[in-house]
Amino acid sequence: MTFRFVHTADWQLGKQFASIPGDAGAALRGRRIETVRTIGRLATERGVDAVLVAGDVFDANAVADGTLTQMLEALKAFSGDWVFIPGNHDSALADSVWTRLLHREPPANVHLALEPETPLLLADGRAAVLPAVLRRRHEIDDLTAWFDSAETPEGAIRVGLAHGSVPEFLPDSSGTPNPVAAGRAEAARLDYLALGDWHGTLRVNDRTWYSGTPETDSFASSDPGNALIVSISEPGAPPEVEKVPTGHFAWRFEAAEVRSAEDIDALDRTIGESAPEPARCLLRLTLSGAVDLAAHARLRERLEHWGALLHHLDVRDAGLLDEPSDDDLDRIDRSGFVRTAVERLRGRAQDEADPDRAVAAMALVRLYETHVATEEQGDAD
Amino acid sequence: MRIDRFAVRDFRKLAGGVAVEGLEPGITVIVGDNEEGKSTLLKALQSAFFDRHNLTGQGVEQMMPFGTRGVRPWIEVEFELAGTGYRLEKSFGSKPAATLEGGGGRWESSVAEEKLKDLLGFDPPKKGAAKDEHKGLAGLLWVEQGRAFQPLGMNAEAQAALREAIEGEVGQVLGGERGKKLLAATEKRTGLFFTPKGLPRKALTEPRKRVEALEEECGALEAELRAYDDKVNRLGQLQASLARYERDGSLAKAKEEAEQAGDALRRLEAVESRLKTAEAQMGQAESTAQAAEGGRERRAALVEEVEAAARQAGEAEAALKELEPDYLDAERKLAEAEDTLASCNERRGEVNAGWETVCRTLERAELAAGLQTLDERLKQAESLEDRIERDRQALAADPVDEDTIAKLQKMREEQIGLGAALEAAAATLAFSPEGGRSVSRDGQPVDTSRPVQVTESGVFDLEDFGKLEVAPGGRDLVRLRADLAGAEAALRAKLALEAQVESRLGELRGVAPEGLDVLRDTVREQRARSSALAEQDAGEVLDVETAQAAERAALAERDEAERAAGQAMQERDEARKLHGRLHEGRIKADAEHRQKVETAAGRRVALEETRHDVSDEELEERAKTQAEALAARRAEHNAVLAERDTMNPEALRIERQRAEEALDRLQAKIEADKHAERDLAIELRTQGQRGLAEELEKKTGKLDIARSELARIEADAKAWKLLRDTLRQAEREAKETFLGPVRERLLPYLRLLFPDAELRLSEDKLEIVSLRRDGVEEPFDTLSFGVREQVAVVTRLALADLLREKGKPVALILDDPLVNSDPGRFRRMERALRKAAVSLQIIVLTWNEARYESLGAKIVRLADCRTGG
Repeated sequence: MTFRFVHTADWQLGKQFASIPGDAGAALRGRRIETVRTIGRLATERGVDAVLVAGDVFDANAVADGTLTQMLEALKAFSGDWVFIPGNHDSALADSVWTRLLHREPPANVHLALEPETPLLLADGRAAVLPAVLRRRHEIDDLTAWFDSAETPEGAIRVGLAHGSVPEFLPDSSGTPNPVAAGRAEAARLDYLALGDWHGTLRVNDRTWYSGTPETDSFASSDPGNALIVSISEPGAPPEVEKVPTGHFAWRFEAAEVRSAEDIDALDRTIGESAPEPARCLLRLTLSGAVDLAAHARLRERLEHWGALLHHLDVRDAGLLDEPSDDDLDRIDRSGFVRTAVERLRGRAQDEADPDRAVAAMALVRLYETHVATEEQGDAD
Repeated sequence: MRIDRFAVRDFRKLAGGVAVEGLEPGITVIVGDNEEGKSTLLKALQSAFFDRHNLTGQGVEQMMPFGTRGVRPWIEVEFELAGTGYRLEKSFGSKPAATLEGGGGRWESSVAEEKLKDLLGFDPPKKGAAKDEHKGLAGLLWVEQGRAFQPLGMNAEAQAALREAIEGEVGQVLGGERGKKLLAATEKRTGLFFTPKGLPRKALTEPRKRVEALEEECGALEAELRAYDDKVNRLGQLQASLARYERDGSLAKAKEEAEQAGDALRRLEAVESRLKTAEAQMGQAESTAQAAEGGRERRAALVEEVEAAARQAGEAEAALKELEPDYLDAERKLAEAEDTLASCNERRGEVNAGWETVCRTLERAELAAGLQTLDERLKQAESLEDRIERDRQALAADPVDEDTIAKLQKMREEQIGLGAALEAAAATLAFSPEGGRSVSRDGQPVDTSRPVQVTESGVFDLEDFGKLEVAPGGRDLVRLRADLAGAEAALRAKLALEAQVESRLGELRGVAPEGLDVLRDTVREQRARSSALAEQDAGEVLDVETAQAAERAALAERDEAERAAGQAMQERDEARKLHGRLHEGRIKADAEHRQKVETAAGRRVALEETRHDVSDEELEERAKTQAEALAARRAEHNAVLAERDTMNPEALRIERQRAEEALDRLQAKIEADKHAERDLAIELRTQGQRGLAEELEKKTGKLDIARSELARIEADAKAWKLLRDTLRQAEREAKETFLGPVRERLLPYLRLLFPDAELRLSEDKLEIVSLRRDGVEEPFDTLSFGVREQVAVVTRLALADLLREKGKPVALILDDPLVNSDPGRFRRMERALRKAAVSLQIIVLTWNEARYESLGAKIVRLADCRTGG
């Protein structure tokens, strides 16, 4: 009889997103608990036997008790078995979220796999879960090694549950903490090896997957925001793996080179396409190139526009230079002492040896803005 | 521009006509007394150029001469402009007219005024009389009386003309209104971040403080989290440690070891108890054996003592016998020496008696010889004594006594008094003999050339006259002198007798120094002694020398007897000493012998007594038995000792101590670890609930945001500050540059007045701002009136230079401009005016002709310019 379960990991509950100020950050914090409910509902809807969570359920061991309470409350969305193992963020130290959870005596369907090398039988013994228990943040040895010789009941589907890196998938694998051998599933006759740690959904081989985080938490991940529904009909049968989107917020990353007003229009379009639902989108925009002062003002206006629409806009414009054009400068003044000052500031802004080069460039922009403001004021008068 | 001549008629004070001719291209001074109308000339020229000819109302009324009606104020001016000569004629009032001719053209009325406006560049009033602001450059360069010390007060046209002239040289350097607005806006924005002194405002300091506060909070949270992690690790270690105790059964092992060590020690203690008993028994056997051996040794020693005592008694007896012969010999020698000494003493007594007899004989001889001498001296002394006695009796009969001597003294004093009185009362005789006759006194010739003083009676022989007896007055000095001589002779006789007595007494002391009585006693005593000696030793008295020889022989004999007696006594003493020594040795040896004999007897008795109690054989047997018993006990003890040493008691004791301590410590450690683990777990659970990691992440996020906000604000503040500073600097430089042409022309004039001074003008109003002298900036309105008028005049000269160079129509008319200047400063101003006059026309109106005479300029008297009514 088929054993079906949800494979998820890296919930990172308690993560603060403190660098994202105000309501946007608060919404991201609240969303992570909400995503647990989403997973619970998904498990209920799909009628799975269990939800296996491959570590980093919490962002740290020192999260507040309130976070634990909220998590236990969210788990009620699924009445089947929840199996948790610790990850490097919430490793099973002498005192940890897990000891605190045990102290609270969680419901019977919530299994905290904290004893090393102890298989857990699920679905009336149809499946045996082999957990790799991280009792330190970083382990040098492969904690899944014991799977190879682990005894499980005859006819039980063997599912490994671990948190760590597959060295073969890393550019520099030497000294990788918490290593998991890529061939573990085969060596240990596992029907499936459910991994956590990698925040994007990733297939390592037919029987080994990273589910990724169910709710994206950074701009750096590739293909995050999913959970996997895994179905195994019998021991040895190939697992059927379905990727189900669970994330609410889209974290986008765009880089653009801006040199003209046309580039600004193109950027405007790109953002529109990248964030069809701006209110659910966080965008990191890395800008490079050089713009004149008029274009700079226009760019600023457009970014303010998107900043208001998007859930969060993070502009990295250190690579974007201001290059005032002659027209810019003429617009400020063609003669007189103001022009003299403009020329001096431009000279300093262009002088690579000047330590206040950037200050001078910024001063020019401010002068331009002041000029525009006084002109507008003059027009209004 | 140059005004060549002008004429005025019926204008204000100038009721008649005035024509000022031949104005110089340089300086012309027009002199007129107060109220004569010199200032009216300037008003008239201003009206001619700038007032509309068809002016009505108050403007015209002010032109009308006082107290006249029905006249037309009229002005005519001939001037040259850019090489062209013009004539301007204007009439005001009932039939106003304006005519301008020049360069072949002629313009009338308003057209003439329009043409004039174009030529001179001014902005005439729409209505009413022209004021300063309507007079173009004349508003600046034509200075009315009493206004020379005021600021320039340039009108718009003059400013525009001047700006045009300046910009013609330096271009457009000022930013105008736009520049001002930009700078003001920049100042305002910079002022949000910095105080005027450049100190940061709250907008900058608050974000900095916020970052610092957040850094501190983050630091504290990180430390707390580290402490939390450390405790978690500690808890892990404790749990691991407790698990290991459990797994290894450490406590049970320790307990078992402790028990085993206890058993081993108890076994050892049993052996040690046995050893103690064996030691006690061995000790007892040792005492018994020692006692038996002691008895045996003491007996042998006693036997030895008896033998030794007998031997010593024999030796003492032999020594006593050996002393006897020497002792007897010494006793005999002592008796012999005593006999010799007795016979020597007897002989010495006999010799001594003989010597004493000889000594008496010698004394008798010497007494007899001495008595003969003494008798002679006694006889001589007694004779002297008789004679002295007789002299003394004679002296006692002499009448000269103390009273006689007192009288004699008195007579001498009286004689001296009389002599003096006589001299005082003496007659003085002056002889004047004639014919060389002589005078003598008492046979002695008298020197007649001198007067003669007569102090006593005398007779003078006068030649050819006879004698003259002269007796001076007073008592009879002669008689007195005779009395005195008699008394003195009697005294001398007595004194001679006294001297003789003294001489004889001296002689008597020579014969009998001790006195006559002593001498008599001595003779008597020696005579008695001699008689006594004669009675003791009968016989003849020997002479002294014989007696002395006998005495010497007897003395030698006595010395010999004394020497023999001394030697005998010495020999007797030596014999006595030897005898004493031997006698003492004999007594000692005898005592020794007796004591040794007694001791030997005593020891022998003691030995006999002990042998009576226990025999020597019995003692030997007893000692042997006890020694064997001791050897047995000792062997027994050694066996137990070997058994104990084999057990290694020290190791057993150390082991038991170790095992017990290890057990105690392990139990305490496990108990403590359990406590610590329990406490730590509770503490960590409580701390974990706080959500330190979340707090830290939140705070770190806030810090990141605050830091980037601070960086943004700081960058913005720096940019604004740089912008403001750059604009300020550029503006300052622009102002410097803008006023450059003015400064350049002003400087030479200023140097004539105030060397090293600088004049600052505002670049916007082109007004005088301040004068800088000796490093002190003095605002214009704080300067003295004199300095103000001097500065204002030279500034006008410089500006006029600049305007003229740029082709502007300029001529200076100054109405009493230097009334506040002292003579020294006035002289310098003359130089400035002359310098300007090289290229400018300057017309000075003044009442003070004398003051301007030194200027060397043409002077025109107003009085000479009258043209009549």
